[in-house]
Amino acid sequence: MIGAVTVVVLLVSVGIANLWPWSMERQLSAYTGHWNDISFMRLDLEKEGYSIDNIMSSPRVLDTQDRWDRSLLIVAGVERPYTKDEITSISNYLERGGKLLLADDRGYSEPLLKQLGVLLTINTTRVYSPSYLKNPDFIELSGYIDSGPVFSTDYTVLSDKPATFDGAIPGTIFLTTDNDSWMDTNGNKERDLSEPLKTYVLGIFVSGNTYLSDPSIFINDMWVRDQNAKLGVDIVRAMLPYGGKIIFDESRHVSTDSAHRAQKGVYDIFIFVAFDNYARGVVVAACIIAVLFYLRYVRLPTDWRHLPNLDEPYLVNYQEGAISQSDGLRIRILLENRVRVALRLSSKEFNLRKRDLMAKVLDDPDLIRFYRSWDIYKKEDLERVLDKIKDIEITCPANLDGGAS
Amino acid sequence: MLTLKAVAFLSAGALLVVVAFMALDLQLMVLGLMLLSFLAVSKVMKLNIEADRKLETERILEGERIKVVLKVRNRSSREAFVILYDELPPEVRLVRGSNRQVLVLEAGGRTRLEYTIEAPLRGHYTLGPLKVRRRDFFNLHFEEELVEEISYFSVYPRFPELEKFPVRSYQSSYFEMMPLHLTGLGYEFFCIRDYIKGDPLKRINWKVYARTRELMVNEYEKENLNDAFILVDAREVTKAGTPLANSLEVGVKLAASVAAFLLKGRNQVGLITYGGPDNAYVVPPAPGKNQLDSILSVLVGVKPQGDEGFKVALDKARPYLTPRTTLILISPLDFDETVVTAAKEVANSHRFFVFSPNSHEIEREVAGAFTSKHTMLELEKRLVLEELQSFGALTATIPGGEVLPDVALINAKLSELSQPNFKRVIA
Repeated sequence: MIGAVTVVVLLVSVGIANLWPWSMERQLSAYTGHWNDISFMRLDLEKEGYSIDNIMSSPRVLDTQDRWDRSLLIVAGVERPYTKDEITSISNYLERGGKLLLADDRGYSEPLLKQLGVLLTINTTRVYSPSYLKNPDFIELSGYIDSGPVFSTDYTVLSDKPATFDGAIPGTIFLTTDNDSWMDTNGNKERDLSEPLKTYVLGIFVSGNTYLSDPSIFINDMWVRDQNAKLGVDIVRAMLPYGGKIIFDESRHVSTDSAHRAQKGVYDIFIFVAFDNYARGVVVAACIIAVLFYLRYVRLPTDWRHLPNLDEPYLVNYQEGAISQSDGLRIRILLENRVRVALRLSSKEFNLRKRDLMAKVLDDPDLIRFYRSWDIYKKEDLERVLDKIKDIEITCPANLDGGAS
Repeated sequence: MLTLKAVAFLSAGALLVVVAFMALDLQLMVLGLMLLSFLAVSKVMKLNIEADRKLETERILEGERIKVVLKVRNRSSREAFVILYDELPPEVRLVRGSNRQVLVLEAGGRTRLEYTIEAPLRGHYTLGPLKVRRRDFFNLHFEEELVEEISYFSVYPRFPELEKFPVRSYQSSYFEMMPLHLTGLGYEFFCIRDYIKGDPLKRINWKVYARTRELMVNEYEKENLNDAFILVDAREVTKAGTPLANSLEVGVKLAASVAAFLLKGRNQVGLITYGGPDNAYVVPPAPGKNQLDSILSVLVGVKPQGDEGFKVALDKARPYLTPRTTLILISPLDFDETVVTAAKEVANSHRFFVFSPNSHEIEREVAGAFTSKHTMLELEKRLVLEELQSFGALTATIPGGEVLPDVALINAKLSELSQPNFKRVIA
């Protein structure tokens, strides 16, 4: 039992150690109130009448529901990549009527975007703009939404060191930097001639879903500045005009706190076992085998009573029952020995003259016939022969040297 | 250890967890984990029990009783609901009191178990260890521990007293190789010698004194067999029957009777038991009461085991054999392929007795059935005995089935063997 517990603990520990990206920091949680979390956004959306839910373990739990109409999955900050199964689950979720608001400035969501057919590349190089507030890191962005209940509305929002989308933009752009922005490709924090001024895209609508290259516009510290809160709420209103459920995906956040890391590791193992058919099958089989094994070897308390064994029988000779046809040869040898012992002959002496002696000594036709054809005698015949051997009177032949009884 | 209730909890908990995994139901999972947690929480620490056992005596005869007192003390700092059980060998009967007690033993509390056992079967036995079983409050777990308090006692065989045994002093043909005949207590005149201070007056030969006027005393030949070797068959097959009535028990009692009789007559007696490596004992021939103690000690402890035949025992006895040694084999002779060959080697050079407990009769009484197979087996054994007689062995079949062999019958058979022109006895 102790061994089994040790093995389970070791497996869990190894699972946690393997699954957790230890070096990252935690942020962008909808349930904690630090400056870099997004709890203000959650509270404002609650005030708007949306019901709030969350995913703590893995997006694979989205597989548990057949329809996701009027549901919005908000992934703000992707701090670790999705697994193949998780990408499939999100894809299935969208096919079942769900919507997605994805804000990723690290690029971990690119496999998901590829799966969804949104060919976007996230460029994490710093963008600077002459339009900043107090700090060059805080650049102002321009937004415009004209969708659903949100009619032709312009926004000015503040962001913190945003990333941008690269390449061809496959959808409707709604959030950009201003025209004088430039990307600091060499990292010297100054604009060089090789760093042209241009407009960078940070938010687009594609097929009813929203993709942002910068989750920082939603963090608590930014939410209250400029029109960040209005933009955030209006994006959701545009996507869920008739209200609905908002699901914050907390599974992509990474904590530096060891307790949170352990908790998340357990979640990961649980989700892996619960949603992977092979793993689930293995665990179920292992549980059944473990229970059967334990029940097989569990020692229930025995009744302690003194039971003497003085009358317990032990049989050696008398457990074979009656003789059978296969005992014919044994009875024939018995007959020979009966004659040999009666004539006081050694085995060697007897064997030399066995045929002759048996013919002379045996005067019962039945015994003579048995001696010659013992192998055809049936059980009842053998019993009759045995009785005769028992009572046979053996007379020493006249010409035999040695005594006879 | 878990109780039946705990096993049910465990099964239910594990089943709920498994079903929760399959159905992805968190509530079932929580319920299952609660059941499993309940099991874990109810487990607590061990007890510290101390025991001291006193036996009335450590050596008894078969059928006698021993009173046992076992004092138990709880040295731990908490009370506990315990079951105490003093382990008894299965060969003894509990005739008074109980070796089991169920009680709440308080912290530092004491209790005592008093009981009397009857031991109808010879052997070296142990009492204990004391078993302690403690249950938790919910009766989910039980802890068992052994308190290594062991006591020992021996049960000596109660053997019949023989009236005679058909051995006589005789002149050896290997005279030069043997020690001279010794004077001693006996009835046959051996020689006459000068009186020495301290000789009993009744041994003075008054006729010689009247003739020679010198005190002379008669010496009588010591009626001494010189030595006898008893070979007891203790193979596995000798336990056929019941623990109380089997060939080995008959053999052990007969061996004890013969040894006691011969040692009483100031002969030297040796003993060999054979069967397997763990029950092969050799007691070299020696006279006296201490020798009887040695022989009885061996006979007390011998257990049926192994399948080594008479030949192996005879080889072990050879270093102690002289031409005048009488060999006394006690064996049911079943399944021993070596007995005829080995007996043929010694029957001509030694006086050779074969006492064969009637193993078939013993078994038949236990089995309660008699078939044609039994006829065949008995006939086979009869032929072996007849063949041994043809070598010159004196054979007797000893009836079995009783705790003690029938003394009168044994004495009768021995009397028959004692006849000058003995008629070999076939049962």
